[in-house]
Amino acid sequence: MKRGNTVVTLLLVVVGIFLFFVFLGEFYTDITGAQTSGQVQVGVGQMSGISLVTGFNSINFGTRSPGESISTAVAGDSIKPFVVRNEGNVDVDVSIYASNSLWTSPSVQPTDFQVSVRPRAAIMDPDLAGVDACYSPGISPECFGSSSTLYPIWTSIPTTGNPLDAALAIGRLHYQNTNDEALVEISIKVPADEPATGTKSSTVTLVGTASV
Amino acid sequence: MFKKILFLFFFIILISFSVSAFLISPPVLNVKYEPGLKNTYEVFIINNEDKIMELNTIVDYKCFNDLFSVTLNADKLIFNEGEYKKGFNFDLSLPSNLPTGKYEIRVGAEERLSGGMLGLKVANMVRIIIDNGGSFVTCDGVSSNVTLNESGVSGVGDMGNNAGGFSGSSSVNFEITSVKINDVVSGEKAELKIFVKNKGDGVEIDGVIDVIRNGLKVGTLKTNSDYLGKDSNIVLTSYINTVNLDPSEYLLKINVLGGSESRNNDAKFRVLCGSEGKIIGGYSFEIFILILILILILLVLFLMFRYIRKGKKSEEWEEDIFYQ
Repeated sequence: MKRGNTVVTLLLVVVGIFLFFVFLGEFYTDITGAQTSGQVQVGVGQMSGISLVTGFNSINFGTRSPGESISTAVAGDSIKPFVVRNEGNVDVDVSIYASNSLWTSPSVQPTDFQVSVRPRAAIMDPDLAGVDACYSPGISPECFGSSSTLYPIWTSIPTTGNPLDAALAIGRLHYQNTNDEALVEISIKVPADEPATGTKSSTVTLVGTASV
Repeated sequence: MFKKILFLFFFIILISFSVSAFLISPPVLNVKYEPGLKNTYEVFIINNEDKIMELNTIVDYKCFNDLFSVTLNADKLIFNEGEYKKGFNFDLSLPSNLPTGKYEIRVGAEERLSGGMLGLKVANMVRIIIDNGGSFVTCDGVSSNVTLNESGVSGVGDMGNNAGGFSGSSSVNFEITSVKINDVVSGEKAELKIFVKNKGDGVEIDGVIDVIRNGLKVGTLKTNSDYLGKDSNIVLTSYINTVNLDPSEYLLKINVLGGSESRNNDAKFRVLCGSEGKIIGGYSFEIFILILILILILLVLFLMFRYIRKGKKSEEWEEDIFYQ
């Protein structure tokens, strides 16, 4: 009986010490950046980068007639927007531009090829909803051309193919897991007098740079 | 009817892409201007998703292609499975004459993701700041206190030390006398007050503050702009929204700009977790648990030794009884 009690006590001590070190390990792995613990020094370099992390691997606008509009912003629709995430450890700005206009019509309008950025927290679509938020310019992360409303506010995509003309889509997208994602939505409108039938092509580029 | 059908055009627009995830390091490269300097720099790409990918290296001179020359030593970077990190070098040549100012160009890599007709690319770029004193130079050729980069982001002006001034700025002579900020509970606004004293001519001043945690910048904010009269004092005020800040200690790198000069100061404040703000710092709960476990270990050890001593005593007593 006495020996049994001693064994139980020793076991408790061992488990206690084990838990202590496990917890100590958890505690220190939570710390980011260059940290010193004892004589071991860990340096974490600064990296920036955006990624597209949507689970929907295509945006298919299908076949459209002149004058028709279509966008990725219709909740529950099968045409989903994509999600941009800050994968680095510094805040980033995300800008957007296109290589050329989708349309050849002489009466093409800036509103015929547009982008909108919205917070995931404002999205009703259960496939896309999340906790990440972004706000009107002034509070970071900033969703430019939009706000934390349920509805997208569209901004035309620059179509000169020149990065100098790129439009800021997201300002200071955080690297922390809270608010490190935003939805980028695309809207197109086929000009009523678009002269050519067939497939239209343009390349949209999303550029990520460290925030100032 | 046939005519109507003829006017019905069809367009098929498809974006299909694979997930992109690569990182670039360093995010910002600061180059101090020296006339005619030519140096080689290295950029690293990290394959964050451990996937096969092909990246094109790119340069964006913005509007400064007649001032600077960048030669990339690689056009493409091809990552195979299991390849985590690759680098490429580039040579940057600076002109022998460069007007005062800070210039930004970019070097980076892009990945083409689309498999459809509407192509999609993701580019991650390193900001290269060529510093020749003064303020950032915008693409309309004007030196400005506010950075207006290609995408219109508002940034900071002269973030350097006090050395980068224009001629004729000797009459500007102000100093930061003190900085006041209190700890706040997470979610509340922290009020930052910067007390500035002027010993020179009147000047319009404002402040730019970098918020830093664990050595990493987590945000930048600006104070109100105000006129600092000759031989007078002023308080610049700014509010830090802590909704998106984790409970921790933060360092504020304060830069007050007036005319072409700037003054720097540091301050610290803490964002407290818990609605009452009684638990200080982001790791207080963990420390509390650690101490609790330590106390439990000590208690168990104490009880164990007490029990062993008691056991020994009772054995001795039993032996005494036996001998008696």
